[in-house]
Amino acid sequence: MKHDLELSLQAWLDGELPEKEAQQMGAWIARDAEAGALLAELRAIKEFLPAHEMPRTVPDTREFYWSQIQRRLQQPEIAAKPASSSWLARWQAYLLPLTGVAAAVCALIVTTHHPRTPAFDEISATSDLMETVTYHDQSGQMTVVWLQDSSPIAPLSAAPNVQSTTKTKDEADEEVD
Amino acid sequence: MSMEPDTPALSEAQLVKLAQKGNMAAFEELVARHRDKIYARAYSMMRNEDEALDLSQDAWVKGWQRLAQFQGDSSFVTWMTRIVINLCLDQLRRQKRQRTESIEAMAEETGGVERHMPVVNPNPTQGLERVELRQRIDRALAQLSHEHRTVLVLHEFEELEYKEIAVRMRCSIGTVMSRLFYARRRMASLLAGLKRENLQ
Amino acid sequence: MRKFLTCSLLAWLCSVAAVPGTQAADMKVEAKLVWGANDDKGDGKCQPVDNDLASKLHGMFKWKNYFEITNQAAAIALNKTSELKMSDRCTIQVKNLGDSRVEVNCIGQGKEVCKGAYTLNPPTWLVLGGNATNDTAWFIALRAVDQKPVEAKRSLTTN
Repeated sequence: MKHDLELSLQAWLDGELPEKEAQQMGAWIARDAEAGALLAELRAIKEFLPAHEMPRTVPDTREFYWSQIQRRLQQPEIAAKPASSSWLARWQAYLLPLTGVAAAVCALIVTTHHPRTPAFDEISATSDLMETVTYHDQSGQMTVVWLQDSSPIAPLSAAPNVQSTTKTKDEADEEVD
Repeated sequence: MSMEPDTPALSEAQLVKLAQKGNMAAFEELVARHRDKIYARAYSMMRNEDEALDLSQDAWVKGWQRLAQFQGDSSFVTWMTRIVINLCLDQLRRQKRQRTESIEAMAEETGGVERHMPVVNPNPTQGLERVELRQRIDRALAQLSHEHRTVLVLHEFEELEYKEIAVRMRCSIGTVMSRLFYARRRMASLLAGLKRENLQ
Repeated sequence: MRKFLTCSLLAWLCSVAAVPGTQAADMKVEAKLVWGANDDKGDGKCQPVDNDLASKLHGMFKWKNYFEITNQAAAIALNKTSELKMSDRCTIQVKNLGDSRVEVNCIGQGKEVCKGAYTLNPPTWLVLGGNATNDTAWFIALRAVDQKPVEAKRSLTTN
């Protein structure tokens, strides 16, 4: 088989041939045994490799790996974002501050004319045992209050239909009884 | 009370959004979630643990610098994978200038050797556990040259098209096709002892 | 002059009292207890949350599936508190502060856990949450339901 034909067969397998050529190639493969055998070999590797890629994990701990990255991120040349030399960036660098000032003035006018209660409120944590964080997602229209250690008050001791591997104190006591 | 969101609970979209605003904790969580995959891709191309570590960390630094450019057209991990692939290709090009090419490697490069390989029909010889199977494949990949392994990784694992591979490897589409053809046939030859059903 | 001022003041007070001002309507709220998990288990007893809430939770949190466990609703009069039992271990007390504001007190196993004041303007959700076992999470999602305003006279006294 000519090498060009072999490469075209491979391209057919990979969906890289134009439609008309692909139809012709398909017809030829169907009637040529040698082509069919070569196609089977190429297809086997094509499908087999991605399904059996060796998983690998970073040999460093999470903290150490991050510390290496963080150290580099904190270097001055990376921490300060470099100025772009494009005309768009220069235009942005000049006009954006002016736009920002204008936006601030407009916001001031709007808020003084239409005072509104803020959409975001601070939370007052009343429990010394419970740390919470609150944040507001404007686009998602959601205010989230996340309880850092919610194990004492998790509404369910185990997920519905999920086997829990840990028992609550009450459940353990019941077993003893 | 801290105003920092609880990053381990957040979705990837939220983490990216926060990281784009300069939140380092959010970026750290993204690193933690995807570091293995980025490292694995670097290792598959470089076949050297230290180089893969360095390049994966380079990729994260570059990702931080370019976060504003991430628009969500692909997943975040796909975007990061592209960055680490480019860094690996740059490194391979630097190394190629320093490497002494063997005659055999040059013959492989031009795609002449595979014409003499018979078509392989895998014979059922022995049962293999999945782990052993993956190890066999990994060893076979290690026997390829950098160029052939790279084109195989980019096409089979990253599902890039010929044109995109040609751009990234700075070669012609014809060269990509020849290298891919050789790499596949060489892998088939190296894996010829595997059970038929393992290859189906 | 004094009569003029007194009449003016009375007239102003009457006009203010007659004007429909701050809504003293009952505030209708809906609260859902939601379970976040990566398992796909759902045997009919655990229904997925509705699409609107699901998309918001997906956008914010990392879990693949969100199941609705309980759903409570209440109409809360101004300055009154309603207690919504979300589970055997958790209750929330919601107080209507007026002007779409609520105070939410989360009680866990009889103990006050967290408390805060929020504005609940539809379609915004307030979501309390925390980690649970087996890499799952619980959420209490609270929102105000659109309601028809009840015209009321503005109160001259503040609570």
